[in-house]
Amino acid sequence: MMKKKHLALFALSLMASSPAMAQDLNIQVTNLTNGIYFTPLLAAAHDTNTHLFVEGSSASVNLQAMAEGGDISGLSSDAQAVSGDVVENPATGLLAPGARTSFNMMTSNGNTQFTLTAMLLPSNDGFVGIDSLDLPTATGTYTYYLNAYDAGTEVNNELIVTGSGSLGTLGIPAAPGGHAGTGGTGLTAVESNTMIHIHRGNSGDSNVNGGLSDLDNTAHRWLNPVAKLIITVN
Amino acid sequence: MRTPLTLSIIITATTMLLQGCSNDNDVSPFSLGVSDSTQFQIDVTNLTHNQAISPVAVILHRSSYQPFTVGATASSALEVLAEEGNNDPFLNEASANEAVLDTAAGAAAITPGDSERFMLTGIVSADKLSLAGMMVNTNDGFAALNSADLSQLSAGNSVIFHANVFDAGTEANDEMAGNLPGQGGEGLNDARNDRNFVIVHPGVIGMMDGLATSALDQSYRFDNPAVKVEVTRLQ
Repeated sequence: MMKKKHLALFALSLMASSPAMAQDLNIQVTNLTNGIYFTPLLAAAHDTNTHLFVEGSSASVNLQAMAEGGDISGLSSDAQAVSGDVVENPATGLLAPGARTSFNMMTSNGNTQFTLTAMLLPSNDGFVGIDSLDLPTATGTYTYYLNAYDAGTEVNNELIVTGSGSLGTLGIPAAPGGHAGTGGTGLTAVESNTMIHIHRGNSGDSNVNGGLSDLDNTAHRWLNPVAKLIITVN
Repeated sequence: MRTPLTLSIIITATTMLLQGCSNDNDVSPFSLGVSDSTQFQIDVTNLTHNQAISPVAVILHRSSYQPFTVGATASSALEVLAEEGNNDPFLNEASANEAVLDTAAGAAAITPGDSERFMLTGIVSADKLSLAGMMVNTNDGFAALNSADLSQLSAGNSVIFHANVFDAGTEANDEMAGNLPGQGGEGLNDARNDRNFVIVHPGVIGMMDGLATSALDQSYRFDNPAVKVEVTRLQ
């Protein structure tokens, strides 16, 4: 009898710790910034061979489309093409500073890694994200803090340009929270690191009708971490 | 509940300073068999936008070695590394410490977006990794891992750490070209004209943000973390 019980417990612990098992998750994302909005989030659970982005590597065109214009359709297709489990746009639009969204996610067998991305507005090609987090397997609540990346695909000129969310058009497509100026001459024409790297942050300036940047140095700066991620394993 | 490895990595990156564990093992490497040896492949990637990192010092050690302590005075060796990017004294000091099992020196500065690979050999009980390299366009800033824990890493597996930027506290952050090696300026200056203890770096201000003496434009600004360190235990 005793032995049987031990065996049953052992089997249970195997189930709980096996990373290959399907999982029932609740995901909560909070925007920790002062004045930066997150464009529609993409959450994906996928296998260990898949990376939607890698720190220190070149961005894919689909990652670039997300980082420069908030378009997650390409990355979502990439994840689904490898049988990833995907949740698109859980906040149904922008996630404002201080706001949070939560959603459920059922992962399939073998999808042991979790990736999250969203563009930062206003920024040229900044995004919040995490690449291939090992999903926890034991029942419980786990908290992570996420950093802001620069996709390395666009010069950070910090100028608001309508339509610049499209690839090939330089600029920041929108400043949803306001405070943006006009008439800036451009912060820089150089991107020194064309790999995905930690964003140095917006500079902005205090001149709403000119200066180098159209961004506001009191509204549009941030420091890492920029988001809190809570994963609950049910 | 078992703390997942990923969680401990986050904690490592967030707390910036790991205290060594207390049950240090002082067994000599020569008394152990081959099965007790470990081999680590360490890939170091510069994640900054425009801060080259001086040739890094990589140190595999037991918990009784501490490369530096936040809030405490920097050693002269750390001052040399942080002010002029020379890792020789720092590595010599580490090598002389019996808690250090292996060290490696970077072949050259690691430029933004670039990586360098190191191979280090240790023993099972030497399961801490430290690493340091100067941010060459700062007065005395250095990116560092301080005693990152490798004890949970089994053979064949990988773990990613992120290194933050510290300020040695040995040179005032005037950002003047003459004091920044990355701008052709002076490296080491023995005078300690700053607070004289190690802190988390407050970041680059730059000429565009109102620091008139600064030689740095906005491209040199940085946020933590500055470096990705991917460790794969081969054996």
